[in-house]
Order: sequence, then C-alpha cells, then structure tokens
Amino acid sequence: MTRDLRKRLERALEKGDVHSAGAGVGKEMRRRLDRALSVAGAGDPPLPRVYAADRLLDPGRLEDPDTLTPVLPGGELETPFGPVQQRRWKVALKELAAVQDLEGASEGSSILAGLLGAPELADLDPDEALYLDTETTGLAGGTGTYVFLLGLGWVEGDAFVVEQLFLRDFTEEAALLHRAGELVDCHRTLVSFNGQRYDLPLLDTRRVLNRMRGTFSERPHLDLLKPARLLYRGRFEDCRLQTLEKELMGQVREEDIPGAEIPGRYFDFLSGEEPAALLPVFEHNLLDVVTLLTLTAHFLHLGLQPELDPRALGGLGRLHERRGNREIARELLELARSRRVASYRDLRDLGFLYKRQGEHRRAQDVWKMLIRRQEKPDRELPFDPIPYVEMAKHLEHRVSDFGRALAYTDAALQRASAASCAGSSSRLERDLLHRSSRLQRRLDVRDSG
Amino acid sequence: MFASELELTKDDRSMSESFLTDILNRGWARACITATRILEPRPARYGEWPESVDPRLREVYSARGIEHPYIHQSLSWEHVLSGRNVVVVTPTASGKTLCYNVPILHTILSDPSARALYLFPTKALSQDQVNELQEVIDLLEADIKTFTYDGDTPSDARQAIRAQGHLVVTNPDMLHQGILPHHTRWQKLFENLRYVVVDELHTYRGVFGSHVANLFRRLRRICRFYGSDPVFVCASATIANPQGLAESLLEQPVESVEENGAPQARKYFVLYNPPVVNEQLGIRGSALSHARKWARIFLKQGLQTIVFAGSRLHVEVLTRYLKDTFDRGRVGKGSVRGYRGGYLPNMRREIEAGLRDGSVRGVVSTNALELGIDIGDLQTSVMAGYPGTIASAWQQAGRAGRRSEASAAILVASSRPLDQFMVNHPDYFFGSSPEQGRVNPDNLLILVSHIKCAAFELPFDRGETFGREALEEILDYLVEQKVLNRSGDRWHWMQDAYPADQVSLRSADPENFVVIDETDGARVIAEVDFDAAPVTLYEGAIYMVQSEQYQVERLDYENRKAYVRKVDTDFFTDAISYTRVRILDVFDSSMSEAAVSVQAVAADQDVEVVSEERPLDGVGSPVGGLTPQAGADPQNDGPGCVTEWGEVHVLTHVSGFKKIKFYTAENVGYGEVNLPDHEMHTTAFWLTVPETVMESLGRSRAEIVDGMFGIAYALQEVAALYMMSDVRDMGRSVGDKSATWHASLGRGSRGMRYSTGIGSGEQDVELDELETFQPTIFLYDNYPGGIGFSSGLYDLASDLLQATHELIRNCTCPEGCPSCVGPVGEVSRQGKSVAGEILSRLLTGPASHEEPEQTRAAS
Repeated sequence: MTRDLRKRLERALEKGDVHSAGAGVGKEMRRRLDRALSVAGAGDPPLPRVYAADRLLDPGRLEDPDTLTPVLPGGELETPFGPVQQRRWKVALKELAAVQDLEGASEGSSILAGLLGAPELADLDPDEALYLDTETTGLAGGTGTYVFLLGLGWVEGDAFVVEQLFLRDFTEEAALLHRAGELVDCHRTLVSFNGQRYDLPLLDTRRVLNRMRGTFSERPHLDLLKPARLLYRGRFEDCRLQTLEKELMGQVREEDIPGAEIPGRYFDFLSGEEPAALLPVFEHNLLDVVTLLTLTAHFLHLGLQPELDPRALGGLGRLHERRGNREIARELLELARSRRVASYRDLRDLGFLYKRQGEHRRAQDVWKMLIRRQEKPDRELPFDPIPYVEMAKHLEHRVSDFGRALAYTDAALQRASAASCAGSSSRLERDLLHRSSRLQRRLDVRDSG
Repeated sequence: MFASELELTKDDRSMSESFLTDILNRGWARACITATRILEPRPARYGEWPESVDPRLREVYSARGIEHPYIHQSLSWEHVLSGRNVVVVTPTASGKTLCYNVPILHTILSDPSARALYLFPTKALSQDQVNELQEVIDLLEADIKTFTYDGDTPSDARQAIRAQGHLVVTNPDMLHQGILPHHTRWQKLFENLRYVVVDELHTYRGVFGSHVANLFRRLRRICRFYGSDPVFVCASATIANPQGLAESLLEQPVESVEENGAPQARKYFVLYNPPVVNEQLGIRGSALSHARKWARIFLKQGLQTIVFAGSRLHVEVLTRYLKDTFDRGRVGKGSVRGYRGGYLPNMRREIEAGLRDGSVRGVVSTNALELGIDIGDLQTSVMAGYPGTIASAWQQAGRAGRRSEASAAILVASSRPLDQFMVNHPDYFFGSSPEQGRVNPDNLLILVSHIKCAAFELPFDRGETFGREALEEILDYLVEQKVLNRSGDRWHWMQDAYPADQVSLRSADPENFVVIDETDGARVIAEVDFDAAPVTLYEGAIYMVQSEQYQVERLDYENRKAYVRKVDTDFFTDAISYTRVRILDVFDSSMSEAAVSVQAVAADQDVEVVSEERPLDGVGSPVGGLTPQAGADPQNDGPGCVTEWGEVHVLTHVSGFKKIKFYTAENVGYGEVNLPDHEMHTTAFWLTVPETVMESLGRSRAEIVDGMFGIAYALQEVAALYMMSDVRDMGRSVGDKSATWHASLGRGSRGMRYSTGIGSGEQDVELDELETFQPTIFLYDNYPGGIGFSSGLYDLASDLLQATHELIRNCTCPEGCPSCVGPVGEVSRQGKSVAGEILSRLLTGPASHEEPEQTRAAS
C-alpha cells in the first residue's frame, strides 16, 4: 500500500497541485490500510526503555577509552585560533531502533519539505546532515550568553559520530566556532531542535563577536520543533525534546540533568570546582544530538507512511489541507476517525472538509457527533459553538427547516450563557441571539403565511 | 516653523494683547503682581544654506516654506558636517529638528550605507519625530528608511528595522535594554553609525543623566568594536551649562550653538503672589486656586491655555475644578483636559492632537508637557507654583509663545519658601542664569550596574577604561561576586541573567503598578511608578484619572496591582509618611564655628577632623574645625554645630493618610495604611546641635526638637536652591544621631511624636528620660547610592545655615508658616522662635558668660 500513497504524496507535494491527489483511497486500499494500522496500534504500548549514554555506547566501542573518568574527557583539538577541548562518541546506527533504512527515509524529505513549506529541505539527506545542539551559559539570550558546549553529529558509515567541543575557558571560543564552521561547511543541511530561534542566532552572535564571517542561520536548516508542534501540539503534554523521546520512541532518560542547572555547573567549573560535575552535561548533550537523528528519521518516515503513528494523522491531514491536498487530507482524517484516534479538532476539520466538498450529509454526521461529544457530561470539553451553528446554517439555508435550526441555535445559546461569566454578554451570544430571532421571525412568517 | 510664515504682524497691539495688558492692570491683579517683564519681539535672524548640502534637500525645504535657515541652524550644520559634536540650545518650536535632520539626510543621500540613531527621552517624542522625518523623506523621493524602535514595535518588524533602517528613532531605555545587549543583530547599524541625535539633552541630568552618561560609554564602546565613531548632535532647552552638560554626558569635546534665530512676538512674564488670607497663620491664598482663577479668565477669553501643576494630584484637582466650570459653559465639554504620566498612550495622543487642532482649549499638565511634544504654540501658560528650577520655569513659560500674537506666562507662587523667594526677588529670578544640569556618572551604584551591562555586551580587556574609578578593581570585585570570569587579561560575563533588565534608567525599581478599575468588568486605567506607589496607591486612597475619582479597594503589592472602583466623594487623600535615618559611615566631619559665622568659609579651607577622634554616637567635641583665617583659639571660641556627611540607611514608612476636602482643603479624617517599608542606602548631610548649645538656650528637649523640625523644613528648601535641584531630590528627617529615636508629626493633632523603631514595632519615648540626646537634622539624597548633593551641602554648610536663618528671621509671620518653618499646624507654637534661637546661637556665637559651660563640654 505504501508505494501508491507514497507516490501520490510525493507527487502532490512536489507539484503543490491542489487537484493532483486525484480520487480517494479505493476500497481495497482502505481495507489494507485499516488492517495495517490495527496491527500497529494493537495491544498495550511497550514499556518505555531507559535512554542513557552508557546504554548507547558500550565502553568497547568508544573511540576514546578515557571517557567517564573524573577528569575532563576527550582530548585537545588544535585550530588556527588555538586549542579547544574535543570529545568524540560513536554510536552504531543499529543501536538506534527508530533509525532504520535511513536511505529509504531520505525519500520522505520532499514530502516533509512540502508540508513545512521549506523547499530548501526537499533534498535533505539524513546521511549528509549535521545535527547540532548547544549548551549555554543562560537562556536570557543576548551577547552575554556563551555556548560552552557544542554537540555536532553526523553519519559516518554505519555509525553516528558525535563530536563535542567544550570551552575550558572563554578564550577557547574562537577555536570552537572555527571548528564548528569547518563541520558546517562540509554538510549540506543543519538539523536542530529549536535552532531557528535559539541555537543558530546564538552561534551567529558568537561569530560576529569573534569577527568571523558567514552566518549559520542562512544555511538550509531543519528545525525539528516545527514539525513536532505541527503534528503533536495538543496531543502530548508539551513538545519538549524529552517528551517526544518518551511518546515517539518510548525512551525515558535516567538521571538526566535539568536544563536549569546546566549554566550553574559550568560556572562552578570555571570557578575551579570538580570537572566531574560537568559529565552529566556532556551526556545530556550527547543524548540530545542522538535524538535529533532519530527524530529526523521519524518525521521522514512519517511523511511517507502516515500510518506509522496514528496520533499524527490529524496533524498530517491538516498540513496536507493547508498545502491544498484536500483529498489526501480527507483520507488521513477519515483514517484517524475510523481508527478512533481522531481528536475533537481532527473531526471538526473533517466536517469542514466534507462541507467544502459538498458532502453535506457526511458533514452533518460529523457535526452531530461533535455535539454528542460535547454534551457527554463526563467529557468536560470546553463549549464550542461551531457544530451547532453549522447544523443551524445547514437546516436554515439548505433545507429550510427553521424549527430544527432554531432548536440548535437555542441549544448553543443556552450553553454559551452557561459558559460565559455572569453579567456580561459576549459577542458570540449576541450573534447567536441575532440568529435565533431571525429564525423565529422566519418561522412566524411561515406560520402566518 | 517656516521662515516664510514668520513675518511679524505689524499690529502687535492685537486683540489678545490689549486684553492681556488690560487684565494685568486691574486692581486685584496689580496688588498681587510682584513683577512683570516684557520680552520684546524678536525678529528672525537668518544664515545661509551651505554650498555643500545636497540641492534636493534645499529644494524640499524651500517647498515647505524654508528659504533661509535660521542662524542657529546653519551654524550647527557647519559643525556637524565637519564632524564636530554639537549642542544646540533653542527653545521648543524654533526649528531645532532641522539642525540635525539636514546634515543627516544629506549624508545618507550621498552615502546610502550611512546610519543614524535618534534618541528621545520619551516614546511620545519619538513618534512625533518619525512623522516629521517621513514627510521630508517622502518629498525627497529618496530610499531612506526611518523607523521607531521601542517597546511598542511589533516583533516581526524588528528584523527589517535592524537590517534596513537608515534612521532608527528610539529612547535611552530601549537602547539600554533592547539594542546594546543584542548589538550583533544591529551589526549593520553600528558598523555604519555616523550620527547620534540626542534631543532634550537637558532632561538627562541627575540620576537619569548619570545613567545615560554610562549608556553613552557603552554605546561608544560598541561603536569602537565595529569601527565606527559617530558624531553626536544634541539639542537642549536653555540651561546654564548646555555645553558642560553635553561634555560630561559624552565625555568628549562638544561645540555649542546658543544663538536663537527664530522670531517671537511680544511676551509677558508675570510673577504673581496670592494675597495673604490669614495674617496670624501666615497663610496665602493657594497657588492652585489662583492658578485656576487665571486659567478661567484666559479660557473665557478664548485663549488657548496650558496650566502646569506640580504633582499628579494637583493636575487632577485642578482639572476637576476647571471642568466644573467649563464642561457646562460655552467652551464645551471635553475642551479642558488633564495630562500627565500614567495616562495610557492613546489618551495622551488624543489630547496632543486636540491641542494642535484647537479643539482642546485648555490643558492641565504635570511637567510631562514641558518637553518638546508637539502641541502647537499656546497663548498663555499658567504655573501653579514654582516648578522647582529656573530652567523648568522658562520651559513651562515657553509653552506659550507665538510668532505673531502676544502671549503671556504667569507664575503663581505657592507658600513654599522657594516660591516666596522667587516672587519676592524678581531680579534674582529673571537675572540669574538657569540651573546647571549635573550628572554623576561615577556614582558607584550606577557605574557598577553599567559595567555589568557592558561586560555582558563585550568582554572587558585589560587596559580599557570605563568611568573614572579603577576599572580593574571593580572587575575583579565582580569576579569575586561570581558575576564575571577572568581568563588572562579578559573579563567575561558569567551569569545566567540579563543585567540590563535589572537596571532601570529612571527609577530604582523597574516594576510599575497597574491600576485596575473594577467598576464594570476589569480594565487597566493607569500605571504608577514603583517609587510613587507608596504615597499614591494604598487601600482607601482616592486615585484620580481625568478628574474621575477612584478609590483603591485592594492593593496586591506582590503583583504590583491596585484594584479601584469609581466613587464620588468630596475629598481627596494625601499620604503621611515619615523617615528614620541611621548613620552607617562618616566620610567627613567638621565643626562649623560661631566665630566663623557669616563670612562663609570656603569648604576646602575647613580643617578636616579625623573621624576616630569623633565616636559615631558621641557629641562631636569641638576640636579642630576652625579655619586658620578665623584667627581665634578654638578652645576659647563658641560652640558651633557638628556637620558631617556620609553613608546612611533610610527607612520610610507610610503610616496613614489624610482626607482633604475639595475647595476648602479642610482635613476631614484619617485612614490607616499598612505597606511594607521602603529602605535605601544613600548619602546624607547632617547637622547635630551640641549639648552645650542646647543647655545655653534654656529650652526643654521637646522644644529643641520642635525648633530643629522647623529648621529642617526651611533648610531643605534652601538646600534645593543651592544645589539647583528639585526639592524632592532630597529627603529630610529629624532624629537622634544614634538613631535611638526619630520625630514625626502626631496624627490628627499638633505636635510631635518621638518614637523608636518604625512601623508596627514603634514605641513612643520620653525625651527627658534619654541619657544622651543629640538631635540631628538629616538631608539625604533621595536616590540609592547618592547623587552628589550631600558632599555639596557639606561644603556649603555655613552658607546654608546663614541663608536658612535669614529666611526664618525675615518672614513676618508670628509663629511659623509654610514660607519659613512650616505651617503652624505642623510645628508647635514655639517652633519658629526656637528655630531662630538655635540658629542665632549657632551663627553668632555665645555670650561671654557661657564660656565656662562650653569649656566643660569640650573637655
């Protein structure tokens, strides 16, 4: 099945053509999709696995056997700007469950690029990207914030290499930035998590302060926070990297250092305290960089095979709709519905899709379903007038059933005034009142006529 | 504004002028007018367009009616185009913006990569400026981009401004918190920065100016990093030392242009002293009600009028009075408005526009409208009280002034000593040069906070300078505090913090209170500075906006919110606060001597007294402290008083409030206030009367404190005059030198309380039961860390006491009045006479029979 959907996805997104998606999923395809998804979603979710540096790397495979000793790990790298502390890790790709068939995944990049509206990412090849994450002396931003640890990862053969550059004191900054520049120059794309707003501008600031030319933020760049938010906002408690690790990869970090403590540990180190207190920061950074690779693989696969993660179906559907691929959007939203993973919002979007495509009966089924959902006492959904109003519009304008339209309007009005604070009447209530009195008038006219 | 419109009307006896001369000659007015000065019409004086200036600019301005520049404009162009810093001194509306816009636009026309930064003290002024610049640029049809960049700039517009703005208009606060800490994003601007415009330079004095001087140090440091060295173009209102102020702010040579070529019609400047209404209490008619009278006369005549009141409260009270008169009358509703800081921006914009188009006929304002906000030229300016400095008085008077019609400014004196001094010494007022603008950029508190900001912006290198203190020591201190990290010869910022957020250029605490009206829903109606909040927003306070009254129902101090509800009462509220001062460190100490007295000893001739000879809590013994010129043997001379200055801890407590009835100003009740105390470390000048002097007076201790209280009242006013500062820049307190008690006004009754502690822990003390008794008057700098007044007061101590003595002696009231030792209600009946006795004893020396006592005390 995937091959057909994949082709159409690619075609639709490459051309950005509204109608190219063609006819919907055939019966046979739907059956197969349903079956595939029911298998994927069956049973309890697997127990989360522990995500920690020493499980990723067994000591034998470490390039540098001196790691984890209570001195600063790694060695010194000489640059034209002086030395900087450098540490390298190597992770076998086969250790990373989610990163399989990377080559296949790279085909998903045009879809992802299309969905994100970022054409510069259309030829993103996960094998040729540089994965980047910084640890800094503060979150305030501005010229007084330093990157003291920079993790840079890339695929080399069957391994993922992570190089960490560390400032033993601030004088090593130019060397760190120089080395980072070298690595950025020999990779086609940068991958980060929130790098658009944070890591890249910060590195650019540091480069300006060190009188270096060229900015990182102008490079082709995949900021994974963007697809994560588009697909999972509202699904998970938040869109932090570690939440995604837990939700998408079933991995939970053990004894990870809280981000807020990181600047303090570095300041203590600068003030002459034990370097050992910094080791958790190195490990934290390593895991962050490794996760960048797994997340990239996840999103690339997902572009091609939406069914891999039913929770993303609604979000993917919305993205396709935004790009004009209504048929695919509808298909994905219907899938979500039939898989019973559709959120309230997914269903509402499906309702509007049906309405726009002139499938009023289907749209009404959705509106009614949404009203039932809202009115179930145990669900505690916030009041949403849209399904009521849509029902009322349909009944009034299409079938001239003023009586039922009025009933829906008044039901909404009742719920609206219960929801709003006492005393003040909102704009919504005024609109509903207006609709209600118009319907009443039309009913009266009809009755008297 | 434009030369062609500036021909003076030949008929300068116009309607309004004859009205003015008529009203000034009426009997009631003449009885109270102490002086009238007529500023004769001044013709325009022109300069030439320099050959080098881009002809397009000349065309555009001549299309706007400016054929010839005024002399001050062409002089400043010459300086700016030759790369010299300049300060132009002109009143508002004399075309000062051309002084900087012409050379800057010229430079950008010839080099599109050039950039300029415009700094205005307030956002409102920035907005005005951008509009005017844009008009000129549109006429030029040039691709010059001008933007305001302040807190209101939407974040999606910011990036474009940073990269493309040729002219970026902002304010010092934004430069401090938004631009310099992110200078790498402004690389293009800083690399090509050719000019920095500093308008309203005179506002950058005192604490604010000291911060801004440091801001300029930071700005120039960043410019050096990017290899630029901009020329500063400054504009200032008339002050005594525009060039000096500019040079101390910029720490670079600055040329000054002080000739004003703009024309003006005849102008009347009147000093008016309200009549004495109660001879016994020495009370004059209030400045507020007499200002109202003048405003009413002018408004009825249809003259557009601005009234300046000294405080926000007075603005509200006066607005209400005038609205009561005019909202029903023919001038019409909404034609009289209040204007002050704390109103929301759109309301202020609306009032400004109303003034320009003439729909607002009268406005009552704090000094907020003293600055160059464009409200057009009004015809009359009424000042309800002397605004505190001569420079301010001229600025406020300058709001009235037209090119072709006569205008008038009336200064209505209040009962305060300074006001009385000014109206009774018109030659002093009109003759003396306005005040100096002073800054103290090396105030350690201010300096260190900017060194932190500077270190955040760029690491410090060994050998750099920043201010006049030993930079390296400060940096190493900050390393000890774990604020900076030193590696080799560099100091780097080392904190997870953004230091500019912790430093506000304008007040000690950046957090304002918001005022939320809950009468109908909840809406924010105003903002109040943190410093003003304790005496403005307390539960029960009446808070006024546009003369509507609101009562504070709840104060959420933690979250800086005050919840108010609309009320209609016939009173307003005024906070009662008092202050205790504790000495932390004595920097210098001397004995001002009886024999030295009047012939003001130059301070640097005073013999310093080593502080270990003078225990902090002991009465200063009269060793040394004599000038050699005094020529007398110290042991045989009379006891003076001990004057000292040093570091102090000041604790202010708001204990309650008075309810004051509108119109009658009657005190109709009191309320409790429960607010956290306000604490501050600052510098102070103090003076302690030795026991020998007190004993020789034969007064009770309580009477002595009453007298000290009276002296303190007058001394503070005199000190403000000598320091050329606002009275509110200093605080006063009377208490024991060892802080065992302090004096405060009793609530609801006359007389004094003496208590220990402050706030809930306070207990009354019996003065007569105290073992040591060292009544001391403290005058402290009302700013954390001090702003330089205390050492100045210390140096001038004998002059100050002499002047204070004269002020009290020459006042004709029998028992104290607001013009000398304070109103009778606040000092006791003996207050004035005891104050006089103490001062004459201090200044004229003892009679010979007192010598034995004095010798005993000295041993």
